[in-house]
Amino acid sequence: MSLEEIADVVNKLNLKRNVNFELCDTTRPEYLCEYSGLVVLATNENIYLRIAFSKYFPLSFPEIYVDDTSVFRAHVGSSGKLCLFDSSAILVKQNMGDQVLIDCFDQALTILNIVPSSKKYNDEVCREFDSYWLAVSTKRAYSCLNTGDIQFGEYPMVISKGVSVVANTKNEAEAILQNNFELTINQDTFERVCIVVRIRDSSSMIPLAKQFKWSTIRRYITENTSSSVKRQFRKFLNKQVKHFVRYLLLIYPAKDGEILFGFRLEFNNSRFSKIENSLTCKVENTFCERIDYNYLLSRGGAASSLKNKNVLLLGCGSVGGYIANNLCQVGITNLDILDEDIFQPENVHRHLLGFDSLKPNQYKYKSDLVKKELESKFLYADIDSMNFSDRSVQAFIQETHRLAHYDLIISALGEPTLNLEINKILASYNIDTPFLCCFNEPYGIGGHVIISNIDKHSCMQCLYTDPISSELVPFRGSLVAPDQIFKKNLSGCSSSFVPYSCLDSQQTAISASRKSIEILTGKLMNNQIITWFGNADEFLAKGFAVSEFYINNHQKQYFESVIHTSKDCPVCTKTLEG
Amino acid sequence: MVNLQKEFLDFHDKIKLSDENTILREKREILLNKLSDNICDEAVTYTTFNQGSYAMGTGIKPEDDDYDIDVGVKFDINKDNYSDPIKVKKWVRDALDGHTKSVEIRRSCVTVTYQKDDEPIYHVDFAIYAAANDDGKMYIAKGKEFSTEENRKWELSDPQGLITTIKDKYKDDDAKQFRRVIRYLKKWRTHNFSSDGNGTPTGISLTILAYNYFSVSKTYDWSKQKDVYDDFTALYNLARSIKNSFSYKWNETDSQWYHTISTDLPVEPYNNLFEKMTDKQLNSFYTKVDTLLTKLDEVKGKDKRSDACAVLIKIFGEDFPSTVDKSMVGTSESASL
Ligand SMILES: [Zn+2]
Repeated sequence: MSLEEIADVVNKLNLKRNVNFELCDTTRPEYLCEYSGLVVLATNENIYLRIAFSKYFPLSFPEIYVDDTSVFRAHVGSSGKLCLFDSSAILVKQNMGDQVLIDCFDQALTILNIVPSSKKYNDEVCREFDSYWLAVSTKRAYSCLNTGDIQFGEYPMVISKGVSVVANTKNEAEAILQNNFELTINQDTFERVCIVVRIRDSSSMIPLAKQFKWSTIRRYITENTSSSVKRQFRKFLNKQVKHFVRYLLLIYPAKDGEILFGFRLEFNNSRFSKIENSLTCKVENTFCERIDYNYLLSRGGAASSLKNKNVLLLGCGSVGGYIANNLCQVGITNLDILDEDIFQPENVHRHLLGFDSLKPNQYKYKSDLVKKELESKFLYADIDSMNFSDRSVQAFIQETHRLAHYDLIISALGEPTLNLEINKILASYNIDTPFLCCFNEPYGIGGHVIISNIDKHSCMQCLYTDPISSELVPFRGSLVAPDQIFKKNLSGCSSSFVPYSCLDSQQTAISASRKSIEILTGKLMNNQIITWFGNADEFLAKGFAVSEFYINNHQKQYFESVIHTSKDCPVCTKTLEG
Repeated sequence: MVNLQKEFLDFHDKIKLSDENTILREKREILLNKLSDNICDEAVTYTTFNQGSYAMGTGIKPEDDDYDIDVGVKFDINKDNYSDPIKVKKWVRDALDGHTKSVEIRRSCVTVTYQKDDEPIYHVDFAIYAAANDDGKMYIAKGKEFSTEENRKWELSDPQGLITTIKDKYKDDDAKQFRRVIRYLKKWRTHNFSSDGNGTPTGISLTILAYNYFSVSKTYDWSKQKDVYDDFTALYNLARSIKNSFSYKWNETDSQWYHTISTDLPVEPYNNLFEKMTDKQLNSFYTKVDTLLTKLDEVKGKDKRSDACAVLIKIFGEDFPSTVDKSMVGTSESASL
């Protein structure tokens, strides 16, 4: 919009709302023009507002600023900018520039008229507390404390090269600094103590200011904590100190979750005196960056019940690698990966790992590399890459009791003989661990996820058992017609190259991961087979034939069913009888 | 156990006497033409129909190449006007008499036998009926040419009702399995009983046992989205039910306990189909059913196809196929991992 057109829009606002906004002499560089005018709030307070238009108006909203930023107001940032609407949540009608301005202006007044000390005001303050606190903080600390369980406590904070981490233990803090922030722990690293205090429910938020006094903080805490917290805080206050540094972290229970904010307190008394009465205290607002599991994962939408689950992943090739990544990303922390393959250049475009995982002349095990990759990506991932001298599944399952240690066993081996052996072991040793197998079909025609050992009505072997006998047959959900041979081998044989197979693997991995979460959170009640169907043009063009199952179902693109019992299944029907 | 359905179907293809058997049809047509050409002027109008196992779709090829064709001839007569049924039988006998064959009046039919050098033997049995009776029912002419008066009679009979009863019991693929299993039983009979004498249960008695005790054995295959038939289990279950329908009975004459069975024709004249067998013969029938079950149990216990087939060959003879085993089944699972 041109300057003239904007002037016209502002004029309409002046007329309709009986105000008098005038073009300012100076304009912030990010705007095209700014208008200034006086408004009267419901409290009869007069304040000056500035309306700033970008050159994209009305595609982007006008911004409204409060001139005087010395007073804290809800929805007003430290620069004075009002937070009007969440633009991702509304759809703006075009060619109504004048109405857009009026709506923004009305919203600005609504916000400014929220009565301080009202419940609504407090809620609004809480909603944007983090961005406010960030703006007024001079220090920053990472917290991996599970604050939900804390009333009052002292926790170690380790500081290296200006990065502070408060954790449950010194070891935990140091591990994060080293493993995730890639900082070395050396003689320059030092430790502080952080006092963590929970504010009582339905307390008001601390009155906002840019610079706090120790007395204000002390009073806020003593007036807004439970008696037991208060008692412990008193002990702290009674401490005799001279030169003394403490971090203080407050947990404020807001409507939509906990708010954490902190202070660095440096007492400098000329002689020993009680903390409570120390007058010379330097207070620095400290922004608390939460990196605790619950906070990080609730953002990702995961239930924290996944944290204590133990998952075994057999095979971290193409499909398995993506599954490992997905599981860690949704919050699985204890993952054991068994794989005996070496990561090589030809894997790069078919695998989670990239070229950066290759070191010339010293290729490494996939499981070790996936562990390294995921532990650096995800703070709480604790992966055992099971670096036994014999990393084969055959060797591992010799000690059958090991399978019972897991809450879920995932096989991305693509080796039905081994999968069926595991199925048999689980049945014959009465191991309750759910078992999920997944694999792709050739040439992108689809993939499967099979879940067994959830109920006892069927098992993995049922899918490989003839419907009217106990005979072993090829996978009954196979998408390829029987009696065709497919090669796994890629090298040297261009005809067996499967284009975009990494996408097939990811698709199968996503289904497998979703189902894994359902299993681990107790939402899956039956043994299931899930199949996704891809396009078969290329497969057919190679002269191969699809199965009846493919023909009957591929139009739906997705098939999900309980596993039907094969009445003569040699594994589960025997178990039932016995 | 192994899946023997393919073997059973191959076996069935080998033993079934199909409706498409052209030689049989030709023989029948020749005789029917001859009948209409040569029948005496005294004879009244008639219609013909196919009857017997051939018409019910339960016929099997005879092992000794002795083919049987059953034809019904319905005369538009009232039995009360023909006190001697042999008179009516003679109309047919005389019309069919010729050089290449022998024609003979038997108790229940007029039989034409073809026999030429080493070609197969064909029997065509003409059953003669009076179809225009006061009670609206059909009567079959019974008695040989020189039978005594009391052996010459018109007996209530409903051959077409029997055919419909059997044919309508099951539909479509279920009916196919029903007929296959009847054929397996008949093949078992040919292979396990002597071909002459009353010690052998008749084809119709086995058919009616199946009618009473057979149940369809099939499983829904979720991946193929259709039913998969299991003839072995159907046969096994039928054999077990037949065995269980025997009762243990004291025979005064022989001073012995026998397993005996009775089953009635489901249509007129509702007679017991085992009435002609002695208790001792029925007991031997029982023993054979019991042996059949034992052998089928043995089949169930086999994990190798070839072993299972070997037992079935003992039951049914060499028409049952033998097979070889494989140690692996194909897979596409690892193809693109
Ligand atoms: Zn099973």
